[in-house]
This record gives sequence, structure tokens and C-alpha cells, in this order.
Amino acid sequence: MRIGIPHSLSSALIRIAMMVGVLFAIVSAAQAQSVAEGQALFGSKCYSCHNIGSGDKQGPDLKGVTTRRTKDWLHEFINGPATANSKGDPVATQLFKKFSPTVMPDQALTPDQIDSILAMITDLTNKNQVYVPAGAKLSRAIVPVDVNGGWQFFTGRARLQNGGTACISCHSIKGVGMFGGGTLGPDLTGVNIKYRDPELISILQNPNFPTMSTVFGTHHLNDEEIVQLFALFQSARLANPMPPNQAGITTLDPRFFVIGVASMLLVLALLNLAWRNRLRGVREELVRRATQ
Amino acid sequence: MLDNLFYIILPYAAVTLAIVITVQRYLKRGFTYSSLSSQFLESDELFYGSVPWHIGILVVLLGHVIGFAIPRQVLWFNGVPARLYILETTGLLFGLLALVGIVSLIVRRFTSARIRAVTSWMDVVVLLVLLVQVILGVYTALFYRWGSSWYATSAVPYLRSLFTLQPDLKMIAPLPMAVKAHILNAFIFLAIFPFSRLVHMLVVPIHYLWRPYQLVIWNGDRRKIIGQAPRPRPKTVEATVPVTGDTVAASRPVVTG
Repeated sequence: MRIGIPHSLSSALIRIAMMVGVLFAIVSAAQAQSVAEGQALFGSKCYSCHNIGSGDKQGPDLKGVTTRRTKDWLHEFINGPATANSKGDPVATQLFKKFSPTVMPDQALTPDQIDSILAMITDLTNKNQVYVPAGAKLSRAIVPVDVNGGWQFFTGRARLQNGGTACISCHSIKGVGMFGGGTLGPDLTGVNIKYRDPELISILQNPNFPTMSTVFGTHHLNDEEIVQLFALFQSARLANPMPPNQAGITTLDPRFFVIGVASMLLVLALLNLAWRNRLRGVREELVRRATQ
Repeated sequence: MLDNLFYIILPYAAVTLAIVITVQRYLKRGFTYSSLSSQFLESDELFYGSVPWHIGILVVLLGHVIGFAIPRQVLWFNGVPARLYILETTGLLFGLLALVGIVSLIVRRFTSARIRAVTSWMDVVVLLVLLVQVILGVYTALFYRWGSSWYATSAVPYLRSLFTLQPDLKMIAPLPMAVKAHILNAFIFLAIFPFSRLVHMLVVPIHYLWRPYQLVIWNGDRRKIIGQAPRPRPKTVEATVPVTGDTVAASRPVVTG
């Protein structure tokens, strides 16, 4: 007597197994796609300020954030950090205090995009891996002459191809000129110490800080400009291994101030000279009577 | 939320007020278009107030207008650090000149009883708004360098977005408080403009530059006025024939010895 599974049953089991397999493949492919999308989004939208697994930057390290906070909280906070803070959310308040004066701008991300970023963070946290941006690489090796090219782009002598504003407008770096560079943004002498190579390259590719994202959002640096500016920052690191930390400190350049005051006094003296024959006699009389 | 009020609603309200009330005031009360003389014509305190203030603020305003009109060209000019430094020092110089001027004018207005007597509360508001604006501007020039460059990419797009009726706060939202306060105060300035003596800038007597000289002929007994002089004066007689071409000379006593 043959004991076995009836033919119809076995074929049904095979079919079910196949269906489950296909379903599993679809789900895992979707998850992989979601994770991949999350990686790309994180690289362009979040990585300027956040790491996953390698420490705090402008904002907190996000490793394990999906277990520390609920999904709803994360969605609400990512969409409007300042709103969450002003509503008196204790966690938001604490974060704002810790990372002051940096204020995370509202992120224009769809719920699906946020989900894919969160899926990626969960994935890396579970695997205990560190986020490494896939595209944060230079397009070619640095050669010594690139430092000079970097200076040209930094000061604005060479125009940035896509119309970005020269770095000197807002940033200084040691050796840039008599009065230095701008002070709206931080001094960049030690930027390659503060940020490791892939972090810095990623920032040059997608500077997603509140002020820079608006200026460079539609005026990206091209690959060649990134190489040369990176070469400049690297050389600044090598020349100044211990630069002062100037983040968040606005300073007065005494020379600029003194020259401004001196030239103002000179102009005032010249004005007095130009109007030296102004009418005094008749007016002295009026003044005397008015103030008697 | 507050940003929307300060940088979208207020600007449009201020511009509307400025245009409507300015025109209405000109048509209804045209003779009030004046900087309102204090009738106190001394020429030392007023000189160190009025002249530096007007020269300083006009150059600084012109700089803001140029930056707004041709930001790309300004950025090109600033492409060489030496030129950037010259432009920034020039801006700071005239900003400081305006600051010296407005402080002198404020001191003069509040220390002289005669001027206090003709000071309205709106004059006080005007001086306060202008003082705050100049202090914030000079502070920005000194502490948030280099404004002539970043103005072109961080503030001009916002101002232009207001003109195209598609206000976009992205650019200015992350700017420092001092800069945002400077922008806010500029709109407050615009809002009080039509209600104050500021309208005088619309009726600057440019034609004085090419109009013919005016003769001033005294019909009263000037000796009575001269008689109040603080010290003995040399004997004087009136000039019988006015000296053509100089109002001052025409009314000035001629010393005969």
C-alpha cells in the first residue's frame, strides 16, 4: 500500500509555498528598496547634521532613535521641530537646549519618505552598523595644484559653475586676506577636523544646513569644485592641526572696526572743511536769544 | 508663525499704508509735506547732526538698492577680496557716519528746550526707529561679515519674492536675530513713513540747485533787531542796492567803519 500525499494536495502545497516565497521576495525587495531610498534620502537631507552610529554632530546621533521614540512622535518632530518645541514637548525642548543655537528646520518630506529613512535607521541599528554615505567620494584623486584652485573658488575669483555664492561671503579660513572671510557662518579652518572626509565631502555635495541649503539647494557645487575645495580644507587641516573652535561665536575684527571709524572721522573732517564758510554770524545771534 | 506676521503680513500692510496714506496726505494736506523746521537755525550741533546723517544714510540706502537691483554684479565685484574689503569699509564708514548724525540729532532734540517745544511724539518714534535701524545695520556689518555678499543670496531673493507676490521665507528664516530685526524694523519704518516728517524725502527741493537766486528785501526797521546784539557793534548802514545773486549778502549789514 502506498502511503503518500495525494497528488492534488502536494501540488497545492507547492503552490502555497511558491506564493509565500514570492510574497516574501516582494516584501523583502520592498524593504530593501525602502532601506535604499532611506539611505539616499538620509545622505542628502540629514547627514549634514546627523550621524548614525558615529557620534553627535550639529544634531544628535540617530542610532536607535526608532526604539527610543514612537513612530508618530518621529513623524511629527521631523515635519516641524520648532513647532514641537513651542508646544512644550519635553524631549524636543531638551534637544533644542542641548544643540542650541542650531535649530533643525522643518523637513519637506512625505510620510513615505520619512518611513523609508526610519526603516533604514532601524536596519542599521539592528545590524549594529555605521551609516556611510555611498556617494560621498571625490571624483578623482587630489593633486597639489588643487589647493590653489580651492582658494580661487573660496574667494570668488573663480566663479562657481552653477551660480553658488563664494564661500568668503559667509565663511573665513586662515590666510584668506587682511580682514579674513565672512562671519555669518563658522570659520572653516578646522572643518576637516570637525568632519571626517566622507562627512565633509557629503556636506560639499549637499550642504543641508539651514542657511546653506537655501543658498545651494539649486546651485550645487560640481565634482571638480568639490575636489578643489576639499583639497583646500585638507591643506588647512594639515597647516593648522589645532585651530580655535569658533562655531557659534560671532566676533568683531578690531582692524576692520578701527579702519571704519578712522575713515568715518576723516570724512567728517572733510565735510567740515567743505562747509567751513557756513553761515554762523547771523545764527549766533539767534542761538544766543534762544538759549538766553 | 511669528515669521509670517513679521515678514509677509507686515510688509504688505506697510507698503499699502505707505502708498495710500502718502498719496492721500499729499492731496488733502500737501502743505504738511515738510521736514518741519525747528526754527532753530544754529549751525554747529545741527551741522554735525544733519549733514553726516543725510550723507551717511543716503549712501547706505543706495548700497541696499544697488544690491537689490544687481546682486550678481555685486557678487562679481566682491570676487576679489581687496575689492570686497573696500566696499565693506565704505559701507561701514557711511553707516557710522549716519550713526554719528542720528545720535547728534537726538541729543540736540532732547537737550534744547526750544526744540523740545516743537517735538511731536511722532518725531520721537521716527528718531527711535532710525536709531534702532542704524545700530542694527552697523552691528550686522561688524559682526556678520560680509553682508554685501550674503545680502545678495540670503536677503535679496526674499525681498524679490515679496515683489512677485510669492513671499518665500526660506532664505531669511535661519538668519541671525539682529539681521531679522533689521528687516522687521525696515517695514516698521515704511509703515510710519506716511504719518511722519519722513515724507519730506519725497519733496526734496532738488530744483533749488538750478532755480534763480532769490532777493530778500527787509522792509522793517532792522536796527531794532541789530540793537539786541550782545556786544557793541560797529556803526552800520543798510545797503541801499541789494547785491544781485546772493540772498545772504543782500540782507547783511555793510560795515562802514
